[in-house]
Amino acid sequence: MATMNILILVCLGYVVLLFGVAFAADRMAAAGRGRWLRSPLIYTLSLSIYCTAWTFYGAVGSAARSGLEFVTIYLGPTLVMISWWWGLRKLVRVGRSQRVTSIADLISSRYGKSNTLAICVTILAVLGGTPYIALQLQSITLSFSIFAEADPSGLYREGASVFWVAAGLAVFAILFGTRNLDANERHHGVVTAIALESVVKLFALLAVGIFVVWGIAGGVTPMMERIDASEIGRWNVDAGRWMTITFLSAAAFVCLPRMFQVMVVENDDEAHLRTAAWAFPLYLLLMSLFVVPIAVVGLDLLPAGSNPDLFVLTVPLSQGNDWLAMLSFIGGFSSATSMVIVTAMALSTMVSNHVVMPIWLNTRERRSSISGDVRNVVLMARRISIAAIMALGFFYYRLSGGGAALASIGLVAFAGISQILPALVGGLFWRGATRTGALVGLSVGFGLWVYTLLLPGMGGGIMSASVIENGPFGMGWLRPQALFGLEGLDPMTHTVLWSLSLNALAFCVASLLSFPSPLERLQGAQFVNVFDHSVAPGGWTGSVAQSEDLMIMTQRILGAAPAQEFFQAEAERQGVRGRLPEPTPGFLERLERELSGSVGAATAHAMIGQIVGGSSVSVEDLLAVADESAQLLEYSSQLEAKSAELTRTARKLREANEKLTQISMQKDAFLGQVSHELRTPMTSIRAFSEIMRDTDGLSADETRRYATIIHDEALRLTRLLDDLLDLSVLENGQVNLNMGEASLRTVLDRAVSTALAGAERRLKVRRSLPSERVALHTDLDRLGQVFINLISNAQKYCDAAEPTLTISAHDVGGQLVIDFVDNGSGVPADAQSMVFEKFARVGFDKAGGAGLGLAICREIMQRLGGEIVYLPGQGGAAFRVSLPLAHRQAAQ
Amino acid sequence: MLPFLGAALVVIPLLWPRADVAGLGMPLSSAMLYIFISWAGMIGVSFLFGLAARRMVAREDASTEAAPWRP
Amino acid sequence: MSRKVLLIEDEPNITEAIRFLLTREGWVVETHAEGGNAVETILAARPDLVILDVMLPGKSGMDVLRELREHADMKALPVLMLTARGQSRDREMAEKAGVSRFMTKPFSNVEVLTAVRDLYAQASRS
Repeated sequence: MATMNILILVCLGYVVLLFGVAFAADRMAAAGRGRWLRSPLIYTLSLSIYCTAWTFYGAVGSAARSGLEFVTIYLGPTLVMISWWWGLRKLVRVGRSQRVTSIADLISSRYGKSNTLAICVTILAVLGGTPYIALQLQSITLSFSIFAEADPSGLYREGASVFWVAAGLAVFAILFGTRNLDANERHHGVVTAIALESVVKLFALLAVGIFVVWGIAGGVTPMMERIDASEIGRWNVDAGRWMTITFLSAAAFVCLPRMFQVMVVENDDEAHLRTAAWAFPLYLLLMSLFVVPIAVVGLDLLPAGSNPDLFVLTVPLSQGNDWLAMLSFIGGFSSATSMVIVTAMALSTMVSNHVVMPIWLNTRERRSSISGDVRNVVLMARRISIAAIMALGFFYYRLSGGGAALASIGLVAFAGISQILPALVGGLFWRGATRTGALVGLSVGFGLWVYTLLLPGMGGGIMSASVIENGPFGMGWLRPQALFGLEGLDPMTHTVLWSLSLNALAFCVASLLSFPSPLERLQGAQFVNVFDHSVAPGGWTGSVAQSEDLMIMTQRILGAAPAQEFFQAEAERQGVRGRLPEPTPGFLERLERELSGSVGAATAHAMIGQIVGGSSVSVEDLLAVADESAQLLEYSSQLEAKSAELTRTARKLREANEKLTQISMQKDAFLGQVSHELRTPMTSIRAFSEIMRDTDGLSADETRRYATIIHDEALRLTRLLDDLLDLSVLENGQVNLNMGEASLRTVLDRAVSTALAGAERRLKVRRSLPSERVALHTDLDRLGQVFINLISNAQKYCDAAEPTLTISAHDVGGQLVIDFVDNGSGVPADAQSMVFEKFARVGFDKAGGAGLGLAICREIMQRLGGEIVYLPGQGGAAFRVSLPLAHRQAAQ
Repeated sequence: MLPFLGAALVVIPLLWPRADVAGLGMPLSSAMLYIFISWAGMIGVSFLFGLAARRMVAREDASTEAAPWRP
Repeated sequence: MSRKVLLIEDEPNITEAIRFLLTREGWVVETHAEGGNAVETILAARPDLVILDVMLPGKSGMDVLRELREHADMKALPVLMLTARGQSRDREMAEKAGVSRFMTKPFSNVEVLTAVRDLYAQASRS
């Protein structure tokens, strides 16, 4: 007999393996490797979380009780997969194009991003999911207890083991389900682990089946005879239940939060559905192939009264085949774990997005709401939700005592969750469906489900027997299990019939009677015609939106880098310079979709609404809604694109205009400067020439002096004209460089002697001759001009008592650098940036030219491929001339 | 067409005589055989349909250059 | 009592020419070569007439004039403004700032003398 210790060890080992697989898959996905992680095979296998412990153990139990009825649970999804493939494809595409995070998100998104609806669906899902989780915990515990009975040590305590199982599953779901926020970054780790688990459970069930057919019964034919001879050996299926359960399982297959999670949210590629359409039914077929043989053999071999739900375990155990029992235990264990993990993930997403986040947002002030890191809040909300959901399941299990047969709890949950179906299908295929309709339908169906199935099923404590017998207040037509006198039906059939049909009826009638909001209509059009236009018209007018506020909010939700990337891309798409795009409706639409991947559609809508404020539907949207034809929608989106284009063009024009104005102002200023520089010497010339002409009796000294002034001013004019011409030629790039070769020393020699010739003030020039032994290949005259300018500037402006200019040459970073540093007071800091501008003169001394010298130097150095800069902090005025190394040759 | 075929195949068993009504109904083994064979048949048809759809899409892609929608 | 003119001009040669002309007319010519503390200089010197260049180092002639006119007792002081920029915008600005007469360089000596005589005559009449 296998001891508990081995069992626990195997369990732990298996869980560690799962952790390993999930972790490795996450790592591989993050590294961009592992294409097979996104293969259709993995997708199909992950769909098989449909098969929970309920199907693993319960199917055999169900077969033992009521024959072939159990296949309906598998036939429903099979029919959906095979025949409703196009419908699923639509669901998946809508889910992906709207970046839906859960089934509640999908419903709320379809009906005008209504959070009320999302909360309803969430509550329904949690109510339906909790017993289901409890069921899984129960199955694990039951299977444990089978081994425990056989174990003499008696260490096993049921309550503790359930607790630890629940806690362990919660940790797993938290670790791998809430790592990344964006629902579009899929949970590769979890999905891969689930795929592995589905292989394990299929393998285990097949192994037990093969053991039973060939090991115990001795082949197929004896097996068949044995089946016919058994107590369930006759076709004995209630037609109502048969159809009901087939339908129910088909509905649940689409509506269950965990199925939605793997089928839509975790879907990587629509094309995978095509493979899953035949591969998943095949999986289901294999899962159910050996159910009847195991049930029959179990009924034969085991003593009467043993729990048929556990035949999968007890049959191999009774035959002494411990290892097979162990394997089947692992199979059941993995069915339970995978279901619980995915359900907890899906439910927690719903709870955090539709219940916690809206409450959290509401408790904050408007607009200033976005304080603190929303990202962490969301993740934390999800983690706590997972823990809370697991705790709920745990307490449900403890309270219900695990009494009812496995299969019936599962069906109750199915019936509850199926209430979403009318709203879902209606939303996908009927544009007339409205929020009110969905709300009314859901409430009606939900209420009926609670009243006719959930409460009566929970035993006498909650609903008294008299109510069940005679109806509330003695009103017989309201008897929970025979509404309106419809008696003689199986309770399940009864509930499904009434709740779903009234649900659908209420949904249709309320939809027809109510008028949808514009946003609802837009969303409706997008859902129903998802294949026609996946790019949708927007719902936002961004006139008041602040891009910066949006940016801040987005950063907090998506994280800084992805948010900036997204905004940058948007800005580029709009052709806007800078990092912030304009809040166009299209941009807001995309932003909302991006955010809804993290926090759900309704919350994202509310958050953007807080910033954008006011009306969420623009005139264009109303226009778009007015005529519902797809052409008009397209036409309006074309208009929108045109208007966006016009806005962009206008902005470009404005920019161009600003630039032109600036240039024109610069030109005006330049002309004013030139005029000033020309008129000033002319004023002196004119004034003194008139004085000399009109004044009698000027002394010889005065005459000479005034003639000198006229002469000097005439020279100044000439220089100015020369400089202007020089600069204009340089600026237009018409200059021809006259390349020559000489050493730096020669050029400097010539420049110093030219600059200092005839100067009144002595300027001492200090040079380091060895460093000047550099051969130059450049326009020597132009370079000389620069040097002369710098030297004569020092000569004119250096205000030291003994003016000294130090010229030194270095090799800095592959450039020949020549520094001219004098010992004066230098250029004031605020003027340093201006010295190279035209007509920029520093100080009051006007002895020099028109202030064009350094501007010319800068132009020359640009032509020569080097540059000239002012070096601050050198004690005096300091200029650095640099030439690229390419112009330098080996030292002589 | 496939939905109707599937639904019909699934509903047929309901026409069989039930043990509690007719005394001796359809043997369970035959029922199993019927269900699993029709099931397998549906899978096969779906598989073929998938192949055909893929070929059709491939042809569409080739002719229209750009697929209408990409993830 | 002698007539006093304050000449605010940064170009030494032009200063010299105007000083020559006005001295021969019997004016006492005081000079100042920058805009920075030109207003204080005017307030201290109390001239009968100011000749003000527009492009001055430190502070532009326009600003000097504007500040000057803020003093109550300086509202009527005749100010002759000279500019070398020669743009019509400057004339408008100067008139807004309260200039008495606006002249563009280069000017003829006769124009300057006439302007100074006129302004002085107007000021002493009122």
